[in-house]
Amino acid sequence: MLKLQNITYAYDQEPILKGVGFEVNEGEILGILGLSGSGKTTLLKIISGLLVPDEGEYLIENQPAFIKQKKSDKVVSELGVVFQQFNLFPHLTVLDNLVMPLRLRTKQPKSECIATAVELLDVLGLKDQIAKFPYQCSGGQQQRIAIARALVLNPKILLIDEPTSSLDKENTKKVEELLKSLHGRGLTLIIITHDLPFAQAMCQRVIELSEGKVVYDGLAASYFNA
Amino acid sequence: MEYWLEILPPIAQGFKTSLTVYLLTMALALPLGLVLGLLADMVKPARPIIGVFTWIIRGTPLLLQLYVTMYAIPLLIPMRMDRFFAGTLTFVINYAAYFAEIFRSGLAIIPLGQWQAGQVLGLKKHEIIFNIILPQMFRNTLLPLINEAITLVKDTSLLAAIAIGEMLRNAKEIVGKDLRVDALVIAGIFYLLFSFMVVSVGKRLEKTYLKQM
Ligand SMILES: Nc1ncnc2c1ncn2[C@@H]1O[C@H](COP(=O)(O)OP(=O)(O)OP(=O)(O)O)[C@@H](O)[C@H]1O
Ligand SMILES: [Mg+2]
Repeated sequence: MLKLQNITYAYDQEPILKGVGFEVNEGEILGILGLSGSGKTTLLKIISGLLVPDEGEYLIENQPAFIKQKKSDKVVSELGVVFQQFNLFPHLTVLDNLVMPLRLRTKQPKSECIATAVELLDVLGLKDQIAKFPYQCSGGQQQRIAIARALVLNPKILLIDEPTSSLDKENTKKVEELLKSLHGRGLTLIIITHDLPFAQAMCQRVIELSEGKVVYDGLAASYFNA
Repeated sequence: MEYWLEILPPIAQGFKTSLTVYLLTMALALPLGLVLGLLADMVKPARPIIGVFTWIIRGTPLLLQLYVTMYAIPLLIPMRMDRFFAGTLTFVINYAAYFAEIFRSGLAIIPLGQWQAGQVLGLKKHEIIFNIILPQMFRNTLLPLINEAITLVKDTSLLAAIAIGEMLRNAKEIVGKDLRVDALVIAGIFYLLFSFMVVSVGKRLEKTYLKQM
């Protein structure tokens, strides 16, 4: 579905990504691992179209993801993104965090958008939170709201940055179950994490980033047994 | 009591003038300040120009600015300057500079992640601005804006300096003529009621918009 080749990116002089390449296949759970500062979030920003790579090729369904330095519509329609800090909209209720983008993007009537959003929030166990504002929700709930918002436009791939970094054991387990059930419904998952036990429990395949390069790409089982 | 009824009309007349300038200033300076604040935040080349503008306006007394508009400009460009026009124009420009700074800082504290969240959802730039950025900016700036709105109530008395018959000037004239201070008391009451109204509106806005923080 996604193919990255020889991606290079520098914020300033020093490149953070130095020729990163890998593929993402339909239906898989891919983990992107690496130490803090290894460029995982930078890579997420490139995959989600927020940053344009300096060099290299990025294809989505065999189409270029960037056309003349601008991200193609495919990037948005294919990917749902959950940020490390969630970036929920603080001025909107939980429900409106989903309804606002849904309305703007689909131009459907409000009632339909609300119905879609409520249904999704219900699936994620957030039915009782819909009238709250994000700050009134717990960290685990905010995480699930962010996942719900990423899914509201029906992406094929969910790209999620450090899903367990602010969660305790119990909530980590919950996220694991949730992501697995989403995968069961046909979603492809790209999980960025430095939580190795979590990656081991979740991922089928892993990539390790180190010093701007991919130093491992293969089965999770072999990675964790090595 | 009879005396009060007698002096009330000129004071009320002055109040009307003060109120008109107040309303015109708010109605024009807010949108102007918003545009300047947005430009300063989002258009890099505009930043230094707006910076110099706000520095000059905020760095000199409003009284001086009133004199400049009323007396200095007609010396440079031969024209008849209308007092009311000069007063209102100066207030609008002065308050727009303060509002621009308030809006700019209200925008600056919105995390970049808010833009990014909008972008990955496929929203267009104007959709992000109107649905994500401006509502948050509005919340961030409400309290300082209310403060300015209260200050403006009292600043309108500076209009007297360019001989506009606003409330305080009219009251002072009555005091000078009758050698009684009642007019000042009445003017004081008007100012208090006026700022009380502004504060109440501010409280209402706070209640509606600042609860979700
Ligand atoms: N906006 C930026 N401007 C300049 N440098 C940046 C910027 N964002 C990140 N960097 C640098 O790029 C490098 C990679 O950062 P990145 O956030 O991608 O790491 P990460 O792997 O996600 O780390 P973590 O696991 O701590 O989240 C770091 O050295 C960081 O300092
Ligand atoms: Mg990161």
